[in-house]
Amino acid sequence: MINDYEVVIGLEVHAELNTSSKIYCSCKNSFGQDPNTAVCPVCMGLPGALPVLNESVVDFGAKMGLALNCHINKLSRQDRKNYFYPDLPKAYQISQADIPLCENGWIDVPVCGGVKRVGINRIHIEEDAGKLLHDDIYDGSLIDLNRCGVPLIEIVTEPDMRSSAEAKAFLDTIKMTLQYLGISDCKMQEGSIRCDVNVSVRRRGDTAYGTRCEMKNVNSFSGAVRSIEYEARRQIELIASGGTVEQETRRWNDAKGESIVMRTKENAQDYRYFPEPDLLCIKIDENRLNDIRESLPELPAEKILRYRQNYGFSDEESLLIAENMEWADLLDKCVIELGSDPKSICSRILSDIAKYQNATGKTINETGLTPERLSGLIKLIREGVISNTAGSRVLEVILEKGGEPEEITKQLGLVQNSDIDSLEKLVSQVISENEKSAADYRSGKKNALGYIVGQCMKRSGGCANPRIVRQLVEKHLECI
Amino acid sequence: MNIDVSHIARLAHLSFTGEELIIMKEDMTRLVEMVAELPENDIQPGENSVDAMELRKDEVIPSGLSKEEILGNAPETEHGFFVVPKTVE
Amino acid sequence: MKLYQKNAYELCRMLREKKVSSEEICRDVIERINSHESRINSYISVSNDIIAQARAVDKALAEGKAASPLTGIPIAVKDNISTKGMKTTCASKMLEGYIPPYDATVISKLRAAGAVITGKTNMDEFAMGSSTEKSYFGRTCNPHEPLCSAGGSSGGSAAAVACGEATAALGSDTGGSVRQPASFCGVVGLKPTYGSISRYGLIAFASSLEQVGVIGRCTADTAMLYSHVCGSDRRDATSVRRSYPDFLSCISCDIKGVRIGVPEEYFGECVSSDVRKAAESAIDCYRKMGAQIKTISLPLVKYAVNTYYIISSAEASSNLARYDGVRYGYRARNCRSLDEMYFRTRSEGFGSEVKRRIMLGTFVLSAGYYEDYYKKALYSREMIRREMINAFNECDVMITPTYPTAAFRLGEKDSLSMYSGDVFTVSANISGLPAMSVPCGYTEERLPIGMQLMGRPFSELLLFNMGYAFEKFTAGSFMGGALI
Repeated sequence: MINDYEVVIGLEVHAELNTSSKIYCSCKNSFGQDPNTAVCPVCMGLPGALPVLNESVVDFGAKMGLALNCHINKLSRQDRKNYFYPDLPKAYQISQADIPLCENGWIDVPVCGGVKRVGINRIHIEEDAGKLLHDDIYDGSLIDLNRCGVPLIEIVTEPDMRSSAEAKAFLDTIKMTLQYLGISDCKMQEGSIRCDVNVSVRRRGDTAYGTRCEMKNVNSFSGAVRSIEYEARRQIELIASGGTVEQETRRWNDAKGESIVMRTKENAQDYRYFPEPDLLCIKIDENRLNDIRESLPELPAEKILRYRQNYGFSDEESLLIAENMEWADLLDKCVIELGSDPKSICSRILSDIAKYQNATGKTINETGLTPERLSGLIKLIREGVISNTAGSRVLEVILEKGGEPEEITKQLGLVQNSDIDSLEKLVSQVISENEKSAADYRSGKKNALGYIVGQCMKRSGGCANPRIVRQLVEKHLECI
Repeated sequence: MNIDVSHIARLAHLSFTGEELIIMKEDMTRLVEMVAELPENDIQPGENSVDAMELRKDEVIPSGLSKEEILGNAPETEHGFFVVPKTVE
Repeated sequence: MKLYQKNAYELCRMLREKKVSSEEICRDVIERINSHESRINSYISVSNDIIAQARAVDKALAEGKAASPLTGIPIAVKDNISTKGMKTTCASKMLEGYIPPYDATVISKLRAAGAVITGKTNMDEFAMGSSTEKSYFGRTCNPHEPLCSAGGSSGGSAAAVACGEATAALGSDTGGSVRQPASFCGVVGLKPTYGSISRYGLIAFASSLEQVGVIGRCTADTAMLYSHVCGSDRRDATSVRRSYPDFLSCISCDIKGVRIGVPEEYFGECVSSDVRKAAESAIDCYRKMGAQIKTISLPLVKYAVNTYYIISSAEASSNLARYDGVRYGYRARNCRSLDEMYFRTRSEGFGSEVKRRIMLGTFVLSAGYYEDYYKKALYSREMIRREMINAFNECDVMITPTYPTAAFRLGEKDSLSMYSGDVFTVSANISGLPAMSVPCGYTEERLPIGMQLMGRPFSELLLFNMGYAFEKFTAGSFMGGALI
């Protein structure tokens, strides 16, 4: 029954921009200050105070718009969104209604081995509200205005997504894009990126959209997935049992895994939008747009697709590397400038290097690793100078202290022994000390081979070329 | 024209007694009738004269307000926060 | 002649020639305040440090510090302009105890110029009104006739200047609130070009319509005060980046060849005969001075009041939404829930006129009505603005009566009937044009009458020249009536 229906998803993502100052005043844009200390008459909404727009907010908004292939409106306008809430000092939020900064874009999201194009309806700039805290001991609500006036961009998609997986992939890609552009730090736990989810369902094959419900209080990307799945199921079950979906705003409760009605269509808010009279039009000229366009780096969606296509990485590998700009940078330098094999670099990054960084908390920059050193190490392994396992030990030293792979290999005595004569001697020696295992092998227990090879490796201190050792052991065992 | 003054009052977060509401409805009706007379628009869209504004440099300038100045006018504060009766979510 | 009767430029000369100190001037003004306040009620709060301010100025002058024409001069400020550390109430219970932690830009400029701020003047609550009868702190009476209104909403500022309780004053003008009280009180009142004076710190009523206004006893004083407070301000995005001349040194009474437009729609039936006679007589003076007079037509003026009330109420409903008892101002007592706090605070804190305008503003912005009212009014506004600007192809300045009548009696008019009286003044606010009221006559009962001069954007110098020329031509016979 569920498969008779298609779920249609649209998302509204709010991201705090990491400008130095707030959007309409020169207060510091930061998190975690003592309450009501990063405020001024403007962001407090004192009588007589006036907003003045921060140029970086416009630049960052346009940058995101260009990254998402939007049309940037050279002239756009701010509007007031009027409602009462204690965390909103002016009782209106300055936002953009009719003429937003960016419109009609799209982004190709890598998902499920393919690509999904999600349309971007608009991106606009607006101010954040303060924080309301509920005190259990104290019989009241506490208000901190530090966050008032922190700049936000709101990204509104077209209802193009058809599964929670697509929605999650979209959110991951947007988050990465914001980080790549350097315009938002995207710390979900600090609230610097939030999303509202719009869900409707329709019978497969229908072209008209069903009634949609909006869900608020979705506090994580995985929460978005859960809320979408819950809401789709709720709506389908409702329709299947003969009911109709009402247009509602619902509040998602992740702990309980359910949503409840906040507002119905009847008591929907009337925000009475009108043009902000304290601000004139925002103008952004062609030169400035070109400068911004030129400053765009390769975007994560493009990067992921390139990794999949050119390097043959899986979806997961591509995402993991692309998500981490240092890793992506390291990989690309090793492969493109130094000619290393991409898969080898990738696996080193995702294993040894990731493990080291997790344990020490360092960035690549803070370690002794450089693209040249990593590339050099991979070359040594490829040429058989050093085994894979020994390579990990050398890499650890490089990460901790720096140094060149060849030298460290020699210092640690890890140069792989591929000399047939000395290995022949070693193998005969070990086989002669392990008569029982040799006999086991000849009588059909093929595992004994591995045991003998292991003993040879141990005897050689890990330096014997394991491939050659294995061949020799096989040969000896077969012959005798 | 029947103006839903209760709804407007709710939007504006104003409350009126029954009597006041009747008077307000009369006033509003008169006013709305008066201001309704406006000329027919003969301006083409996009023809509006448009003024663009100068933007502010992204730099931090502390407000210089003391804690007393920030919280001093508030009816109720607690440990640096403004306090209001509990909201109903 | 007593010091409180002297104009600013005379006082400036006397200070420069060390014939008088600022303290002496201020003591005179304080005495005048003490003797007149109980009758006139111009002030909501008189500064408690006037003498200290004056002494500081005198000390600086004695040390040879540079002086401006404003140094040591007692200036009153309308109580909707933020003054740091001094109560700023907007004549409302809602802000009864509010003490701003910052100065409006115009106040910073006054202080930097060494002006002495005498106090905060009475007004209609939140600047909504035309009679200063809608104040939480009582009404202001007209110094010429205490049974009559001083006009509004800057009635306190106009009355203070007219009767010597201040040498000059700042007000605010959203739909005529500086010009009309100026005409009622027999003083000069300027609403400058929109964007020429910073609105930072002016407590907002209708953001796209209002400007700080300047009130003086004569045109020269008005020009002097204007030149000290005008100028672009990076804290106000709507202020215009522009340099201004030193108006005082540029003023001239030569207006030969100036083309004066007289809009016929402004001389209709609603104009009382006294006012019409005075205005026509003034126009005649200009003719004798060599100006060219031409009748013009501004047919869209019949929509001006409607357009004004829709836009100003809409902006007011939004600008006044911040008064919620949370961070400053009045809060209703013993509220058990947030909603109760919001509703009771706003209903108890605002007067009835303010509530009426908020309701109208909320209505015209609300779903289902926005297109037919607010949006239509925006177009109407643009059409009126174009009509005005086009009219200045045929003339350089327009002359009209400031108000259809002279001062009406206190308690005589109800709110709704007062709205239509704004018809002559609102067009300048709608169009952003500069306009100045200059005393030009008296009624039979010796109530002052004002004429309004309107010009192109940033044509204040021409307006000053026109006012100055008229004062000279008529030997100042329409000035100073309430100074005895």
